[in-house]
Amino acid sequence: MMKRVLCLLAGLFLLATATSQGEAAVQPKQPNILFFFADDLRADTVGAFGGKDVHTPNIDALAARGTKFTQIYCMGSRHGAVCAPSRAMLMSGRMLTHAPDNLKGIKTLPQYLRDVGYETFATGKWHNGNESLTRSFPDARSVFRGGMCDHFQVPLCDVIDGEVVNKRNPEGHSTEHFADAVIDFLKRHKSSNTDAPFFAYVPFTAPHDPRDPPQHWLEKLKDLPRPELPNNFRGQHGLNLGKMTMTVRDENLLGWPRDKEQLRDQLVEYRALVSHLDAQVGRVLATLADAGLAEDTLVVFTADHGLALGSHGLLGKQSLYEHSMRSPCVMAGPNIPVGESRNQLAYLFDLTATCLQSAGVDAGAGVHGQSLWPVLRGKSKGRDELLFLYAKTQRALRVGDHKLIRLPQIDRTLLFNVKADPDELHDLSELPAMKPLHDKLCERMRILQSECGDPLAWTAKDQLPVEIDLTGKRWPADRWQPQWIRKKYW
Amino acid sequence: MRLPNIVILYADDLGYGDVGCYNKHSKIPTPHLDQLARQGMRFTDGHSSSGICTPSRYALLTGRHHWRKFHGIVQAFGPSVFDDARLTMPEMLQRRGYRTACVGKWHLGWDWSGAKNEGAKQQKGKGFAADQFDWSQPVPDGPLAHGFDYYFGDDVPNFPPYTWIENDHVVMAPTVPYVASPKPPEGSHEGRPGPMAEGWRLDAVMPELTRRAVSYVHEQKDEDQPFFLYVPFTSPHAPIVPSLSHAGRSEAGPYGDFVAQTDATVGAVLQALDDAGLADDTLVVFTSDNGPEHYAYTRMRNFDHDSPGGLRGLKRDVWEGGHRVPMIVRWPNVVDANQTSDALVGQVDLMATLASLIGFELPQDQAEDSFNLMPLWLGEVDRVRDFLVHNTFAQKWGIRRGKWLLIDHKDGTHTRVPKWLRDRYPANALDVMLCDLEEDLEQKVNLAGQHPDVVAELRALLKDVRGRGHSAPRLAKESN
Repeated sequence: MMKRVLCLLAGLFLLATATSQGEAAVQPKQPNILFFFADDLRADTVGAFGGKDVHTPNIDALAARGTKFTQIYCMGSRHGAVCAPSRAMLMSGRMLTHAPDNLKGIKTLPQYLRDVGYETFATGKWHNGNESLTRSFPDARSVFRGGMCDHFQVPLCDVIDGEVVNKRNPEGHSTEHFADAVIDFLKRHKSSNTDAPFFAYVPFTAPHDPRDPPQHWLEKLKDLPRPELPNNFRGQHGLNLGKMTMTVRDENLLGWPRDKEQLRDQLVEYRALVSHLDAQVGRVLATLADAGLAEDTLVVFTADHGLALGSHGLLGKQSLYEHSMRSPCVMAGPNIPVGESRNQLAYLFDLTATCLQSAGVDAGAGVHGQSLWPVLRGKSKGRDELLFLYAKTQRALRVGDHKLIRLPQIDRTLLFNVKADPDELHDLSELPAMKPLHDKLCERMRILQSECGDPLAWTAKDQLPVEIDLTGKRWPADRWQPQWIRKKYW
Repeated sequence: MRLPNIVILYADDLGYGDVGCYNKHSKIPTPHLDQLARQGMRFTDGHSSSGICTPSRYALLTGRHHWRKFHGIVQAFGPSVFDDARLTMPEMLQRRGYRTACVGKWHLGWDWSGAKNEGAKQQKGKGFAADQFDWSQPVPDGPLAHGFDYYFGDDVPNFPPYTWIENDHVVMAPTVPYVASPKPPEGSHEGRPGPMAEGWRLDAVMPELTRRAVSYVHEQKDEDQPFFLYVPFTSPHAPIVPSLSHAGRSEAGPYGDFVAQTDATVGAVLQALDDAGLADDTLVVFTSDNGPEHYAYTRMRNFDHDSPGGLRGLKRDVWEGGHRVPMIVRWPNVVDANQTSDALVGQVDLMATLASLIGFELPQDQAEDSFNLMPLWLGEVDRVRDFLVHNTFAQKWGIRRGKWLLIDHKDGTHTRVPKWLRDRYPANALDVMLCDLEEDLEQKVNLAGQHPDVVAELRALLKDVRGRGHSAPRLAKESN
């Protein structure tokens, strides 16, 4: 079965590369690639993606001069630290089941790009182990190795000639350190007068919690209306998604049932963290423009996944709902349509294939992603379906507007029409009218699970209680939360 | 999610081009229907079974074409068109626990024999006299006998008895002969002679039906079981009697105002669903029983308003204008908003669609012509049926397959076409008419001579569908 999938994927890739060769003539040269990757950035908290009462002028401006992808997703995770596999999928261009967190033995995007003459650079969060870091980015500055940190006490290091050096704990906000590092890189690149294109990877660790923006950003935004709770806010989730979701650390940032006003306070802080990030992206893009590099640079802005922020009674990204798996995504630069939007279904790791195609790389069957160039050119309907996997507790299948979520631990299947019901509040699975569709999607999900090598049984041996009430449960603060946040919420 | 409530709003003689979202040049404001379309799926190729009232209602409520049984309408004091064994839509829904109600125009017959005095006879030109009935007697074999838990309405707005009927009882005993009050500002009053409740006002009918439908919705607020509410309006059927509050709202005369009032009634029912917090759990279907009445031709000239919306023919005709009607489906969270479908669909299909919705297995001898539209509503497919028979009276038949529309007659006309319009359509020398609706939606050009093969195929298909007693795909095996 696996062989069949790989053959299929290889076939798709051949198609993609055939297109790329045909189109190579159109592209004058390999573009620079500046790739921003935010952490836990929920799509609808960005203005260009429908955010209300938010302030993201730089990302919005990037969207205005580029193309937005409105249905691009993280494929999921094997565990609660969803950002690690999301980054592994992005770096490898491979699907979750074939992209181990440490990327052992897997050639990465920057390695492919260096092979065809790119200069590569990274700064920011690396959550995929040392070996893959130094191999992928022998030249990197201000790298934070890990999953999360106190933004004002971020432990950094550099990678020089493939060696980790200059470990330090500088003052200042993580987002600014990373922006400074890439700005410095852009200036160096410019002054070196090299002909080589660059690939600069800028994964922030914001707006991941602690929701701790520089205080003056809270001040700056104080005149914006207080954020509303999401439409699908609930005090608790109710249905038992298992420990790997219900009480995972991301969920412990507030008690149960979720307090509306405390949550809105957190949304204020999250919003400021996002606006601060936006401002830093603005600084980097200004540097790019000042250096005269904007015209030759493909800019990608996206995030590893979304965040629940109170939707469905959840706070984190350990579920397969839209708010948690969907990312905001903008591409701008050479040959990217201006001011357009694409709603085709895509995985984040399709961006890897897209970058490879831009650079003229044929990665063969090693990469599972499908280049988005045909979609950008309006020549493709994109993917027909997306499979999502989370731990051993949730599976989801998106086909057209419908999304099936399977919960093996409680033997429940949910069915949503995410277009008619973007908040995923109206489970259609019990409606007799949906039975044919429901059965079809169930069958398709099993086939896709088997094809991608996901062994999870349809129904778990050990069943959990279907509902769970977490009222009054303890919710310990972790060591990353700064004092003022502990004081305020715990 | 539990089974949704179901509301069917059924306009009477409303034209394809009377509604703004179907005709951007319409002279009539229809903000609520336009909004309903934005919130749901709008069908551009939806059809009633017949070009007249009773047969279309029969097909809507049974999933069986009227022409397998009858062609005409139920006359005043006429008997029911339903056999006892005939499964109706509300009966099917009752079996799955729905509470069912009909508020409005029934026009599917009753058994008046118990109420009518022995030997009572109609006097020519005057109909029955009021004292020929014992109005306190129950009137069986109406809505309550065919699946509705509750009925309120006036049966037929232009037929006696001119009074309200609630469930199976006459609410106000008619005591006087019919006089049209007020005198309709457009067209003839069309009222047939017969008994009338004293003080009966034609223009009070729609406001009262609206009020009743709205209060029925409010009463459902805290019920556990879902409800089915069928609201067949008496508007904009003649007598054309818009309320004062709607007079002058349109630029298409009193009829236009009556359509605007019809739209307002739709708005009132939808508002009630919102106010009762039921909108999210309610499937709403809006459509019309047939094309617009013959006054539409005069209206084209007087008001430059095109009630058939560019289609040829009007009510009663087998032309598209007779049976192609507005059709809108809204089901929040399930059917995507703001969609337009050009799939060929019939009102006769609602039965199998709702059967699918509630998980009801239709018996072999019921809903014989009904196609399940659910996959279309859900966006899984963009076409469900390939053919559809069009028929009003026994002499003229049409059959549609894909883009081809065949009328097995030299024309599809029943309603008289005024002189000034006749030249618009070339005379047809053949005994058959074949049109390509993709190129010629107005059915002006007869291609029968050029495509004898298509003519032969469609005639054979028509004969087959008429002959075999059913056309629903789930029954197809049986015929093989």
